[in-house]
Amino acid sequence: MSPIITVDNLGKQYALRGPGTAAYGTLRESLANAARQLFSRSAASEQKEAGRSFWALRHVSFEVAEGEVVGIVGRNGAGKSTLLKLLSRITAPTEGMARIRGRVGSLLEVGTGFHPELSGRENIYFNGAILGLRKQEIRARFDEIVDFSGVGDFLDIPIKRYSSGMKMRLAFSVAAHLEPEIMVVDEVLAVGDADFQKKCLGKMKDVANSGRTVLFVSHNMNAVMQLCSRVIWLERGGIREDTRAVHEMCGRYLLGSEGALKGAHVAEEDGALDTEYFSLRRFRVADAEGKTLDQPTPNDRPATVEIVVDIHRLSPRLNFGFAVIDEQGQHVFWSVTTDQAERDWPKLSLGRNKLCAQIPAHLLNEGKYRIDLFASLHGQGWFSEPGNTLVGVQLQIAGGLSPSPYWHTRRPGTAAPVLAWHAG
Amino acid sequence: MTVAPRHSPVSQQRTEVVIRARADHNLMHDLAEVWTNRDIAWTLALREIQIRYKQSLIGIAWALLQPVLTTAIFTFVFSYLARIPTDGIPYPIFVFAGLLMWQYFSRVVVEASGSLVKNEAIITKVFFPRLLLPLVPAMSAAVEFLIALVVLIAMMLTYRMVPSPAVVFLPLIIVAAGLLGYAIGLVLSPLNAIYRDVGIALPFFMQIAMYLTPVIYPVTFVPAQYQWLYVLNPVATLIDTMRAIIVAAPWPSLINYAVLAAWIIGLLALGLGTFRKLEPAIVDRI
Repeated sequence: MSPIITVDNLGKQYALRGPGTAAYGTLRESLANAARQLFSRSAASEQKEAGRSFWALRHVSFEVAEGEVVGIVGRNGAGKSTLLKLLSRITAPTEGMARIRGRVGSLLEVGTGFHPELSGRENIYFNGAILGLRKQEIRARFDEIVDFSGVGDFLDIPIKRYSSGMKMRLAFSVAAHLEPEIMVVDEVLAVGDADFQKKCLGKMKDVANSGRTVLFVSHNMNAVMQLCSRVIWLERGGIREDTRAVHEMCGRYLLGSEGALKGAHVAEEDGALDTEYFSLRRFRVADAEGKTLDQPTPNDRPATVEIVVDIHRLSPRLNFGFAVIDEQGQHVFWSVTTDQAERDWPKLSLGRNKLCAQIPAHLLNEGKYRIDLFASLHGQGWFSEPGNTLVGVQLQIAGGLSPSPYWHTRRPGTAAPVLAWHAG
Repeated sequence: MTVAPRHSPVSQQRTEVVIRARADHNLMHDLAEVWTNRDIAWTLALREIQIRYKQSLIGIAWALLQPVLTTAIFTFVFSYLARIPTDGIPYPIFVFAGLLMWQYFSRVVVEASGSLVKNEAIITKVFFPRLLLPLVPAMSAAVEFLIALVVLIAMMLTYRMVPSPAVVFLPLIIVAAGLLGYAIGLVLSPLNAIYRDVGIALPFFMQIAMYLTPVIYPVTFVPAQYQWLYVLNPVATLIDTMRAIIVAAPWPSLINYAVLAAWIIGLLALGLGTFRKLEPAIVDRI
């Protein structure tokens, strides 16, 4: 039997926009660009164009047989969502092709197409129609959808008064009752209470057991292990692993890349960040000897965050820094070159600059953290926004909590300072 | 791996979708997709109407109040003060008939041009033929057109006027106006998604266009040597047809209709070309 999904060398390139350009273009800009291009060599501008884009997904090929439940895992920015968007035809690929036999029901974000002013009832019909159901089909399934979502008492109030959990339940319920041949689900289990998550998993199992195909993106490895018969691990836009040994792979995934931490982001290997003002060369955390920290480090030793950039254009508004983000995605703190009084800011100069700051010893508790690059033009926009950037490294703190004979295990809290106590 | 056999009628008529870099679908395929998904356009249009009046105090009455008030003001300014002659038709009836047609057309143009930007949240999350989006205003505005039409007929009855039997042609000119607006929307909506300037400038140009169109004055009011220009204005033909149907004003000539048809076909071709070329880029840029 031929596969239900065939993906062949699929690739998607996005244009990167720096904060210097507006989120959407203006006619004036385009006209100005067009005029400029008349007078300059077009090859040069094409080259510049290529430097300002990146491949969210590239050289991805796989096949899915009917009835398979495939988990798609990977870190933020690995290309999972892009892949799902391509397969649900929301955006067109830049190269390659995919062949899909059957209707795709996709649930890419909470409240897909819900209108806040309309009631739950109206939105069920609307959502169903958008997803390709005829009115009679929705009517036939209406009670089932409402039952499953558990929002029956709120059917006639506007969606804008729903909690995000309720919205999500309704959206999942509509999508799950569509009975598409292929169901594409992106991280729905992130919202909703434990009970509903269980219900969703159960429903997806039903969908899978009835012989339909499910593509399931999740960071929740337990859910992936429970549900999927196969996992595709994406990394930096490519397939790192494609295996039916789900448990083994999930274990490896949770451990990180072969136990080594990603302590450095090097532009040539991990993706460039080129802007009008600077090009990032390297972003890393290092120990006191200057060695990149790719192993857990004890709490009683400082870690140095190092940013190496080539500055093309100077501006007093240029900020660099980093954010420490814990495993739950909470920002522990931000630190920026311009935190202090102006005379104490590091002097930036054209060309190569190396900026360093130390995360002091006895600050972070045991655990895994992500350090994201912070780079902005003050008051004007982001080059790299913590929590929403591709430039980030890992830092793991383990042990070394205190020299005390009593306290050796992890305490609650994100910070683990050792303060001096005095009597009197 | 579990492969369960499936015995549902759906699997028989299962369609294969090929996703490729450049949309290699031909035009016919795209148009067929619009037709099979027409339910979505209706649903969107109904939603449009629901939302518009949901939170307003007097609801759907706005659809009546707007043209009535505009008619009252235009009657005062252009009939009472400026004394524009209207070939024997009472000015309120004359201007109301023109306004209905004009407001329908201009709403379709403005809303169709903004349709991609407005529906960004849906476009970026669900797939359906995007060619449907500029079509939605043509449908939702038609509902309001029909509501206001009832008022027009009521007004005519107070003047002891009765619509001519030619009123059966009314759907035809609504469709013509809708297609014209849709075609313009097809050109402008992707441009608007890329350059927001379009959305800013459009209402201003529509205002100017209204004065270039015989909405508040009859073509006969224009000096004779310029009247031929109105043959080129497709909306003028639509409005004159509306008046011919409703109040038995003279019908436009066949040349007018030929020009109107040429506009619709030409703009649709241009619009479909522009829209289909820019559509893939829009989702990534919007």
